[in-house]
Amino acid sequence: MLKPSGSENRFLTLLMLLACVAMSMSIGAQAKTLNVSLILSETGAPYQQFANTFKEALAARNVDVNIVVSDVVSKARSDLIVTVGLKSAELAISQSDIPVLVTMVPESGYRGLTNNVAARNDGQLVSAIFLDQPLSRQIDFIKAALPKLGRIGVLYSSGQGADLEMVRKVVARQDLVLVAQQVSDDGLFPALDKVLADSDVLLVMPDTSIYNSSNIRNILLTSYRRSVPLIGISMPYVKAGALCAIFSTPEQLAVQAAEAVSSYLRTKRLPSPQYPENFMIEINRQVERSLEIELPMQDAIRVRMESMGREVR
Amino acid sequence: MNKYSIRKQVALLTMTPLLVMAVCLEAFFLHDSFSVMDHDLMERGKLISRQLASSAEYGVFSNNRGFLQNLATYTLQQPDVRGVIILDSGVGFFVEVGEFSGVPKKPAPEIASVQTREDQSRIVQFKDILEAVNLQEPASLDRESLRLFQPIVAAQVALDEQGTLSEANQIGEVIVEMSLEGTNGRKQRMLWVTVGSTVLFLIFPMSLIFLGSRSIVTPIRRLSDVVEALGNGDLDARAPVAQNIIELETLSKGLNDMADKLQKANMTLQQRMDQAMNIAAIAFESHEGMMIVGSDCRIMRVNKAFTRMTGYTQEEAIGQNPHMLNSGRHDADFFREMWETINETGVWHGEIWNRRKDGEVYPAMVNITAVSRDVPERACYIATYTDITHKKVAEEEIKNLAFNDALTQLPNRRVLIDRLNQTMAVSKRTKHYSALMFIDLDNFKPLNDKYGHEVGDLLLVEVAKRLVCCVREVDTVARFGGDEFVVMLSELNIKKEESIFHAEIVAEKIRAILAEPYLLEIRKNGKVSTTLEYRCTSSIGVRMFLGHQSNADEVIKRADLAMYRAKREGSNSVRFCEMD
Repeated sequence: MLKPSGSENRFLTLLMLLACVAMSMSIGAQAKTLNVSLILSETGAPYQQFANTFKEALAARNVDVNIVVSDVVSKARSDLIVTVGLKSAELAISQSDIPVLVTMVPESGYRGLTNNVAARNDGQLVSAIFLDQPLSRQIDFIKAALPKLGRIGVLYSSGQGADLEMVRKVVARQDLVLVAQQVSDDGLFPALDKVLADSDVLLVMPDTSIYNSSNIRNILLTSYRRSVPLIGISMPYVKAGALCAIFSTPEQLAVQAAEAVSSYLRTKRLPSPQYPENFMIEINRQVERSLEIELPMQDAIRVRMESMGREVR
Repeated sequence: MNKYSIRKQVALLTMTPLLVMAVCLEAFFLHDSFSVMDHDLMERGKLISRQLASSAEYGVFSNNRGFLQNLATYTLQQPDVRGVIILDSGVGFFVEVGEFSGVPKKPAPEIASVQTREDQSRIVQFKDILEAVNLQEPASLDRESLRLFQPIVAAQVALDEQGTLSEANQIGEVIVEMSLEGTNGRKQRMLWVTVGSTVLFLIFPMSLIFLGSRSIVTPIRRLSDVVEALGNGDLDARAPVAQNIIELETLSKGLNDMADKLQKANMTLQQRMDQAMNIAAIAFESHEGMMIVGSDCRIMRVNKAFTRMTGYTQEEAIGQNPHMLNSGRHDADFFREMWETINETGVWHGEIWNRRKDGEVYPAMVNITAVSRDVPERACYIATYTDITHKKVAEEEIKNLAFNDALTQLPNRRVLIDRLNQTMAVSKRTKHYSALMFIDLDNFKPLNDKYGHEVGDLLLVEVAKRLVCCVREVDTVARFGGDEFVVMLSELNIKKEESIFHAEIVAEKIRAILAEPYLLEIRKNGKVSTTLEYRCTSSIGVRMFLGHQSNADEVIKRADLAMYRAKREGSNSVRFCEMD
């Protein structure tokens, strides 16, 4: 599952890799070896997968990858820091002035980080590859996967009303209706009940005050009761009982990060913060059966999404 | 001190350790069982509350009162569950079913709109329970109930690849009250069953012991019965010797030997007693009349001689007072003295005049002996009577012979002298003169010689009769010897002349009456053959006396002398002896 799906994708990657190899060969021997510190927030499996894939992807390049799991940023000479996870990102940005590529961090988390810290080191080169999918991709996914459903419900907590307009626009672009409901002091359930009553699907927005390990079971139960499927944002959501989700694996993110490093090797510039390029579609077939919803196969959804993307662009 | 039979003792000795053992085992078993029951209840309660809490999670999350109510009601149907409360920690949402000890029963269901306010007041009522059970003290046990607290925690589902879980979020709580009634009932049942089975278990060995102890107890009881029978006087009783217990056999033999000896001794004693009784009976039936009087003065027994003597049969006499024999001849002093003597010395001996049944009075020689004087209630008196009527008559005869003349029945010379002395003693005090006349028949001897003594005696008897007729009662006529008579006139007068005059008249009267002819019947072979007329005069000498002027002999001698003078001077005359 962690492998990229789709032969086209694989073909493209191969082409890109060949191009890169050719480019580095052409630049020649005078090119200096780039010292990269890969700082992992944790030692867990996803981080290890990320690290392994990252190292593999850069093996052919003139890049020396130094992997650390540490609370303190090494002062050893390195030309670029790649952080995995929010914790190491905070660390790297606050403790060093060398360029930092932040990965596996939600967009909101990165924004908060740069807003707080970047002011101090304005000269520092900081960029990111977000963990979460772009909203448009999510909406495309819903449209592709559940074309008959028109109303997308979202819950938001009081502090996040500002993003709502953007969300509404994206939704409207696909001729869908956004049903947004703020979670008030009365508790989660009334808001949930209300949004479910008016929605065809409930889209999870990354907000831990609403979607957390304690609430998710009850949210899912409620959505089942209303026969409203929940669209998750990661693999655990699907496992917990969400109907489906699109997300990027650590390997996919690592490959993308490796590309960014390669680009830095050539240009000494980091690409601007970007969403994951590759993603996976996961469907809980049991929930599909339970809710009596028929979803197309993953590949079919992906094709539909791509065609949508072309249409829109 | 309490007394028990051997059987009970044996049962007690055997049963006591058995009982102690049974009670100890029972206590251990009951304690163990009760702890298991309590533990079971607690575990069941925990399970129920855990299950309820987990089931209630979504209901609390979704604010679904109906669902929770159903859930609680369902839980209430579990055995021993008495009350269920489900609380939402957020809004204090409250579901309550069943009842809780110490909390008034919930009023009738209210309208939904006032539910929340009602909840709040109800929560105040439940304050104690809610404080008693909490996360720190999830169980509280009192006399009636067991209360269990269980937080309702949202089930955790990891949402990242790492499996990170947020902190457990308590969204409510469940309080379950378990009634101890069922457990206590089961405990009680178990207690009764255990006690009952123990009693049954004890009854079995107890009956065995009772039956078994018979082999010891029965021979001992038999021995005991024999001893009791012996004690009650049944000396024929014997203990069975064949015993299965050596000691008892020895005991039986010893007892039987003892009984044999006792019986032998008793027989000897009985023989002796019989003999003594026989003797006593024979002695009692002697010729002497015998009467036994009890301490109550009732006649207890009399013999045949008594019946012969008194005329009262045994039946008539027994139970009567001895006073029935009273002749009335003895005064009260006599009997008082008699009783005093008896009480002092134990015996009394003397003559008593008694009265026979036919009223005849007779003299009896009586011997009274008191028996068992020391023990008043057993005291009795044995009286023996000898009829002395004949003896009395004989005595009278002897007395007559001694003091009276056998022929004329007049006092003899000895009596005369005695009376003369008495009269002299009296006259000394009274100063009255008395007179003594000496009378001699003038021609008695020829009659005696011619017709014999018998005819002479007839004359003497006639003379005596005529003399007695001439004098007063107080005067004395005595036969002095042969044909000599003495007449003593006592207490004549204080004056001498008067006295002499009086004596002279009497003397003349005597001389005249004696001079009268005598008709003497001469008998032959007991029949009157001839009547002889005979004339016989007398010579009389008189001597007056006063006090102790002279002694008796002197007086008689002087009278005699005067008589001789009269005889000398012609017979048939009276002569006075001059006083000095």
